Amino acid sequence: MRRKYFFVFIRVVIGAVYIISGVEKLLQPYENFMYVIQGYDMIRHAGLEFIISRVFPWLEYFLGGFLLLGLWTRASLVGIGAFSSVFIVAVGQAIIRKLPLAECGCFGDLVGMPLAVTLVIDIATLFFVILLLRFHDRGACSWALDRCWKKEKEQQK
Amino acid sequence: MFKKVCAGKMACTVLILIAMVSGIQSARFFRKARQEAVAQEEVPAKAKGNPSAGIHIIEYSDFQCPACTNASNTLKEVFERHSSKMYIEFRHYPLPTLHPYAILCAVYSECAAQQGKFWPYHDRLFDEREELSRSMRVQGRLIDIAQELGLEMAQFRKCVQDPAVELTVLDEKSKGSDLGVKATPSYFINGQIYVGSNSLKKELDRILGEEK
Repeated sequence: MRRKYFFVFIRVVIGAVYIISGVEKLLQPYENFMYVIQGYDMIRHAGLEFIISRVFPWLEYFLGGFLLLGLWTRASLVGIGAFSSVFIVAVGQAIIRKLPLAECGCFGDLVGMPLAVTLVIDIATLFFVILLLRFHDRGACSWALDRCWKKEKEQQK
Repeated sequence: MFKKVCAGKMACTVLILIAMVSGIQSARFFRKARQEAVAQEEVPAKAKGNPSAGIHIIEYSDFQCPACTNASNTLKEVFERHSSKMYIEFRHYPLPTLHPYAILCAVYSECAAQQGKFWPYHDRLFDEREELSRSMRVQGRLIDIAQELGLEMAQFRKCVQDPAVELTVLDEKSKGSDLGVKATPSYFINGQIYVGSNSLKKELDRILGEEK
């Protein structure tokens, strides 16, 4: 029973963090996020930087929203896991290359976090996402919209 | 029946997506209204160039930020070649958490502006950015620069101690944030934001290339 509440709590927290992160970027001019991407010096292609700066914040926002509500939970977890992996690679290479980034730029100007802290948070997020996927059918999907359709499907069977 | 369940889930998904997109668009709408109001407010101008020029640039910068130094040098070079085609306004956006002397430098430059010496003071602050960042006597050096530029020192000393000047700087930063600035250097070129020296350079090359 306790495990169920823990999983719901983790799911809501990760969802909320992704929503806040997405909204913060979506309400700013996209050029600000493009500048953050340029700071990581990974892409070096103006067109790709433009596309990522326009698309990533929407994906973060939608994935966070769906995870929080528990709709398409498994797919949202996979998406957020992929995002976390990308962030771990980006921040990790920035630390190794000692890039002059004072903070991650993850939450716009809402919260400024040093790269090392960001890396720890991203690794923790990935860990919890894997945990939620592992226990998806054993409590991790409690209090989720997905349950409504799952119950309906089970009743039909 | 299975199809019915799927259709219900899809309908719910579409409704949630519409609600989420509408939320963002509404927030953007209100934010834009606020930005337009801020853009129309009078800002004490630290400007140079031709006010009726086709290229109008508003620079949001921090005197202690390395990227701002590079961008400022780029802009200075371009301005020297095309001063009749450009109008540049400077606005403060100090980031004191990253640069401890940022507000101090902004306040001193504001006082230089009151005596019509903003741009020479601006150039000196960027030229000496590294030394100032390492200096143990920043205020002393800022006073020295004012003296070297021939400012009236009694008035200058009085100005830098006036808390209203710092409020002016912070107000300018707050208006910048309302317009969408969050990093330095940021530029509004004819109303469109460009962040960082690379974006500035690319856009200036594009505009000036087209004008040739």
